[in-house]
Amino acid sequence: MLDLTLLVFIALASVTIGSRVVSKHLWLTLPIGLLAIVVLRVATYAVTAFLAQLQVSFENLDLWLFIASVVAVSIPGVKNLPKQGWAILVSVGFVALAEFGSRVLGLFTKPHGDSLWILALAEYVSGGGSASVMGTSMSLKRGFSLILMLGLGEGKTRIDEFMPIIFGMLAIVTIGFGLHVMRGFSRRVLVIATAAVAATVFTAAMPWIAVFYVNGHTLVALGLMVVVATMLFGNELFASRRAQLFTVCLGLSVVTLTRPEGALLSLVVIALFANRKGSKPTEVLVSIATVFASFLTWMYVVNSYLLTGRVAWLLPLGMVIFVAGVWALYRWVPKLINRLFALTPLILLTVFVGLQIVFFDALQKGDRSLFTNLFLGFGAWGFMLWGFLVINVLSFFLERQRIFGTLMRVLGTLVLTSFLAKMVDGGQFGAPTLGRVGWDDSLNRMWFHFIGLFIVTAVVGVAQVLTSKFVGFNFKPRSIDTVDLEATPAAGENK
Amino acid sequence: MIAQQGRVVKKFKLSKRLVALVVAVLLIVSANLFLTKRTIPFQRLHGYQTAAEMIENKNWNWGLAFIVSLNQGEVTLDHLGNLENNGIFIPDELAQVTNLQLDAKVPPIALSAEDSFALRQIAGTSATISKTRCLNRGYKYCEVDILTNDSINDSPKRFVGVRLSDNVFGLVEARLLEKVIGQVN
Repeated sequence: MLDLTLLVFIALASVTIGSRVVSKHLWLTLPIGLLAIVVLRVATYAVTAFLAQLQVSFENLDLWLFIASVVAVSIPGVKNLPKQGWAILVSVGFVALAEFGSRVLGLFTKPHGDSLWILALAEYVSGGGSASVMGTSMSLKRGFSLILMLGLGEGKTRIDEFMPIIFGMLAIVTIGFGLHVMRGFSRRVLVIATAAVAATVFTAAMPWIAVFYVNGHTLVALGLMVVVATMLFGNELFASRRAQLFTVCLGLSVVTLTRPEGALLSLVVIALFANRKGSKPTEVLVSIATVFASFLTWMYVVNSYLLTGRVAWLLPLGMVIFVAGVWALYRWVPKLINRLFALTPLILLTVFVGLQIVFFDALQKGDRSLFTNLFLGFGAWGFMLWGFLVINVLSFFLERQRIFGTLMRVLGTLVLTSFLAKMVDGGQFGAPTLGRVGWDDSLNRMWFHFIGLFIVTAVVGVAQVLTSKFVGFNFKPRSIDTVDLEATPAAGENK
Repeated sequence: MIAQQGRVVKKFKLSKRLVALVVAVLLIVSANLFLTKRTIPFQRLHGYQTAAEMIENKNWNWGLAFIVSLNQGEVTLDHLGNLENNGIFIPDELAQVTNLQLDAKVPPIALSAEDSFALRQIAGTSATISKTRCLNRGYKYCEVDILTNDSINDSPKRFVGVRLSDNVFGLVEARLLEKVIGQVN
């Protein structure tokens, strides 16, 4: 019963918190609320862990601190509730669906070792176990925030229903983002393109596996979608720059806290959008600082194996120096830092190609597995990538939607980042396990981080194929400004 | 503007492109449905199950600590070694969660084929099968047989890591193992 009560409480809190940030776009309100809940959970757990070191502890302290903090943050938004009928309905509806699926039908994650790990530690956390248990390299690889969310019960019980709820939020933000991106197209094109992409994506197994699969991939995907949507369309969707920055920081924090490669993905996203028009150096610095602060919270709560004892201060020092360095570059050579940010995809591509050449033999097995998983249907992704490939090839012969190019740049760069992160962890520089054939290969599962972006990009790509003028092969195709990403003034400035 | 373009395109190009799109989608969907290995995207449990209870039904990766704990209680495991020295890998956090005491300083004892056979032939010996992560041997996971014998010791406190063959490990109750190879330090 506690899990249902907690979930309804979280659903309502998501609405009150989310509606304070953005109230007119339900597809952002609810995911932002949920991301805030995740961050609050980690923050209050960190406080609990700190208090435990001071010998201050009582039963379920972390749970009560969490509830108190959520109530405190929600109170100012309670006045918005009467206007948020749909949001409440959808949010509580998801809880009901998740509860029905998980507890009544008994649907549960596909058996997988990493899931078991997360479930076991979530039980341990829920039973009041010490956070320091998770301070190993193995635990680091399985993230932090999801364990805490699933372990948000008492007496060693887990709240497994979070998984389908996170998936539902990802679905909402993907649909909302997609509709926003496609608003320049006719309804007929929208329906045809969406149906085509939905048919190819949802006849593959992976999206269905992800509904109940216990791992951080869905939560990372949610965080990334919210961040990218805000970065691209923040000026149209939010009433203020502060709300935008807050949302971006929430998303980046959750991505960082959920997967070991999260910090890297977050920093790359910051770099990708650092040059967008209207972006201020302070916003970039605050975003980077948020990523570092989130990572440090994780590290120090679980007594990271990375840096312990006397050298523990090196990690924050390095991060402070990094932020100071970026600030200094902004101050004295702004053109250089902006150029560096703009070159992020190229830099990553160069590193990737270089490593592929240098470690060609060692990476062969991984590359073969990757191709087998993604293109030959062994990775539960079906054959959808072939269709995506065709769309991309065709885009070189058509007048390209500008948003398509933008989304491809984001998607491609994040995919490259994942390759590099996996090389560090399990490939060339770690234990040589990069690349197994099968859905459960870790790199194969990591592609789920980008499922939302992939779907939206594919829908735009199909719509573009259906509507754009054929212009012959053109490596740098003429673009159509479907959506002006840069010149739109803030919604608040309009009025 | 774009909506207008969409309408113009629809008149002159959409029909051909639409046919091509439908064919492409049908091809991909058919391939998804008929050329890929069918996989069930989730499982169905009857009621809430703890992690340990799930292990009883499925031999999940990382399940070794839970299986030992479930079947033997709070016991000590020694001669485990580690991934690098061809050992049995039980992560510290899972050992802590399951209240197992680990000693990984010494690698598993390599048993001869005769000793491995003799171990299983002792009347009353039973084996519970699990697996461990085992890098650097061309395998990602190796089998681990947990061997006990109630007639020799009905309340085991110590299990010793052994190598039964190249990719099969054992966790053998200490007194049972001593019956075959003598004193174990």
